[in-house]
Amino acid sequence: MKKTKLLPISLLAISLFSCEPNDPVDPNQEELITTVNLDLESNGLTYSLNYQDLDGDGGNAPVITLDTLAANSTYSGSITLFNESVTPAEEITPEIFDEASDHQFFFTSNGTSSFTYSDQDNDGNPIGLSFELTTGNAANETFTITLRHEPDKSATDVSSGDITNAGGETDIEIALSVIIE
Amino acid sequence: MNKLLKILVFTFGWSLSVTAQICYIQLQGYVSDSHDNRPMADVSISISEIGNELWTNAQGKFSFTNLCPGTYHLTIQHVGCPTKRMALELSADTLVKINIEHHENMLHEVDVHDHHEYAMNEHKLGLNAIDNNTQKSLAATLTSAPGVNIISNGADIGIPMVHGLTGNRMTIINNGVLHSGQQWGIDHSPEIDINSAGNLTVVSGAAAIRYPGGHMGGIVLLSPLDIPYDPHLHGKVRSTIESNGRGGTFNVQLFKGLKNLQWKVGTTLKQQGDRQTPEYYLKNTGTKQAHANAEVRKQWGNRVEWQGYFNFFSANFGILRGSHIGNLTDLVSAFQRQIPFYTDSLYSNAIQAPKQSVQHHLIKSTLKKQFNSSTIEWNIAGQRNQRREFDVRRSGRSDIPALSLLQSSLQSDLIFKGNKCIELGYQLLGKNNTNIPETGILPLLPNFVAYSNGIYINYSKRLSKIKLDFGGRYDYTHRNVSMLTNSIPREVVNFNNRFHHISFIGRSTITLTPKWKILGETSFKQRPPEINELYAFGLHQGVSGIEEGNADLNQESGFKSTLQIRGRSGKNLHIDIRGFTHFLNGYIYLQPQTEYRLTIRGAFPVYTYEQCNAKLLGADFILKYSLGQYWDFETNWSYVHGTNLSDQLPLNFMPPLNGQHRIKYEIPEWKNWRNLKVEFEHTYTAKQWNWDTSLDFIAPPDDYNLFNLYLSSTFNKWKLKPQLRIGIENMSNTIYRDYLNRQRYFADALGRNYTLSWIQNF
Repeated sequence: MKKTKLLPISLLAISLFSCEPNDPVDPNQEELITTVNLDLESNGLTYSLNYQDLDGDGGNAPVITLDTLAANSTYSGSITLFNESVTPAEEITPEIFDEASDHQFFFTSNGTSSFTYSDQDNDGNPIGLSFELTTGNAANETFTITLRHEPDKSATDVSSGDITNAGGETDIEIALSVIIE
Repeated sequence: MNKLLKILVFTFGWSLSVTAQICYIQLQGYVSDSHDNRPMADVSISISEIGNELWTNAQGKFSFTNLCPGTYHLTIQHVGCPTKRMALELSADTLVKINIEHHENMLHEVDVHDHHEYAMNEHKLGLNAIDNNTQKSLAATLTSAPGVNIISNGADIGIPMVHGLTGNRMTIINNGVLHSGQQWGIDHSPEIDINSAGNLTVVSGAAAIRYPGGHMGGIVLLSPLDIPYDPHLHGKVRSTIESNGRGGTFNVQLFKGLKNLQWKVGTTLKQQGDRQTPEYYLKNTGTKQAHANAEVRKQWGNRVEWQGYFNFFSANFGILRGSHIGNLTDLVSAFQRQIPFYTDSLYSNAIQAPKQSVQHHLIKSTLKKQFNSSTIEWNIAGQRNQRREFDVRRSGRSDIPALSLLQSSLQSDLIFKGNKCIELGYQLLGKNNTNIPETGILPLLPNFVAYSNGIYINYSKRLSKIKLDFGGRYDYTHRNVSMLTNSIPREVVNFNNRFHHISFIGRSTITLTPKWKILGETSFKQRPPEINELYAFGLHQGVSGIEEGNADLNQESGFKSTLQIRGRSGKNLHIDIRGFTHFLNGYIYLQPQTEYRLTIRGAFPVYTYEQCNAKLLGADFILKYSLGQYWDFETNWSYVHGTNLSDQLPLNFMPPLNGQHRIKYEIPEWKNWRNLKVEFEHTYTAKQWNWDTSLDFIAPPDDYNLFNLYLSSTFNKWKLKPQLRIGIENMSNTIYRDYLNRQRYFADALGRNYTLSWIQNF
């Protein structure tokens, strides 16, 4: 009698099992950003700086294609982001725009070029999807472009583009070695 | 006397003599110390039905007269003993013999019993320890045992570490069942509520050959509460409120112990908000938990017993918001902050991402049959563990888990115990671990099914002054693994793992004099590499970097030797000293790589699993001293020194030198209060000097001292006799960081905490 009571429990426990593991499902990584495009415009001419890493963390090295920029010029720029790991490719820029107060781009250069913001979120703080780039003298410069999620935009100097006190998590951090001539 | 009943009644023995009288019944009793049978004077005995309290005389005797036939409940209270309750059915003059466990935390067992449950190389925490730590995690409760540390991530998430080893090298046995969760993460707390247990035992040798699992270091055993014989429904409420975190814990248990049927049900609820360091709130460090357990034991005659056990654990743990980081730049800037990012000036009890949500179910059935001189036991247990971890994500995806794992496991044991000296067992373990495809992130771990078959034998031989134990174990583990490739296009690849692993143990316990014992133990144990060590791939917030498995890992083998001497001098001084060496061949550890991984999110530290030969040297020292009737002093010290022998470098994340000191003053009564106890506790944790700079981001924190004060007593004026306890933890509000707490990279540890506990037996 005791054994008949225990039998259903045993069967239940055993039936949870099979010898083969379930095949893992390739996730739809809709949050992934694979591509950053900086489109620059000056005097009716367009330039672009592109960074593309299709396979995510690790794997193959990113593909970076950069136009040469002119010295001592002013460019109006905009950033577009894509997830090209999914088909069709998905544009991520609207997600950033919709959460503008939770995102901010930061631009730095190791040379004499400088960046200013040309957009604002609802609180009047910069986002950085639109910006203005003023190049310095002819040189090879590295631009570092960072997108922070949930930064503290009211911390000291953050709204003027200084990343030091921003905090938050980094969604994008890319370095572009640009030739300015 | 019925043998089974004797077990149920636990430390009470009782016998009856019969002469019929009505309302002239006399109840006489004799109270003695369960350790040496000495009579115990000044023990308070009260009968709740008549509201009468008596005290035992110098011979340990007491007597109630003119009782009517019926059932009576006795409450037995004495300084230094946990309060005991027992039920008696009186129909005639009765003589009761009551054994009470005097000074349960003292090392009396030297000259008393030597059964397995409380042997050398083990440390047991009884019901008192659980009562006093109702609000704490399993790991935090165990740290009062010498040689046990806690590796933690904040206040509620912690794994016990025994003699420097934890995670995959640490096994938890809950009511005979190998606890099966996601032990691989150092930020994964075992899914067990201590309030479900009756006692906790830490076994620091590899002695526990009868248990499956990868315990190179030690194991933690949780045993259920003994249900005393009593024909009425009884219960217990334990509740604690805490100032730090402004939370509380509430536990209620109901139990009934009939002659052939005992049952118990219990539930625990816990809520905590943001904890506080001495200077600021730790944002998002709250927890919400709900647990339940049920147990049934049924006997048929004296020889057959069945036990059914169910346990459910559900918890949400907040993770410090400022500890969730993106890339290396974020990590470095988080380290440089005095106060973590996102620190809020206001208290909150909301739990947001990053957080963990865990549900664990355990169901178990045990059937025991006793023959003339042997016992056969059959266990079958199933577990289901669901773990979902949430990161801070974009566009409302913080509500979608970044890690979602479901594990089902099965255990079946067949154990034969013959005549006290031989034990044979067979164990089957099965485990199915699956990623739930809801995360939108490449899984960190592959899916797998693992089976393990094990057999063991234990043999004990008692010579005149020497007790010898030998054990051997063989396991065969087979795993089928299915994982996604990291390259595009993604493909599913399969692996098969097969491991034969063995363990041996030899131990001799020598009784030098009635008061002194010496133990020598050597053991060998193999552990196959775990799934995460072989195949992990991806960003793991628990290590702040990209973790990569190494499919070429071999088995880890450990050879541990322990020498322990335990004894007492005079009546009052107890000493326990233990030293060990532990050589680990193929010790698996996470090695940070010199090059960072560049991704679109910036650079990340990369960790891969590597193997080395390692040596652990350690010692525990315990000294207890009783001064007169009221004062107790205790000091214990532990240290483990780890070396990577392959590279002649220190092993990281070993516990630094640490010591605990307790002074206790307890008086039997003061006005309406019984067992009034004041405890002062000091803990010292040294700075870890033995560390390898290439394996850690920042230097270990400085040494620190913590002071705790507790005041507890039983209020005897009320019939219910509530037990109250007031505590002040970190009295001096010391600012400190703990080396083994991952939160130390980002924030200070907890500041002062006032606690108020109420324990009610009914």
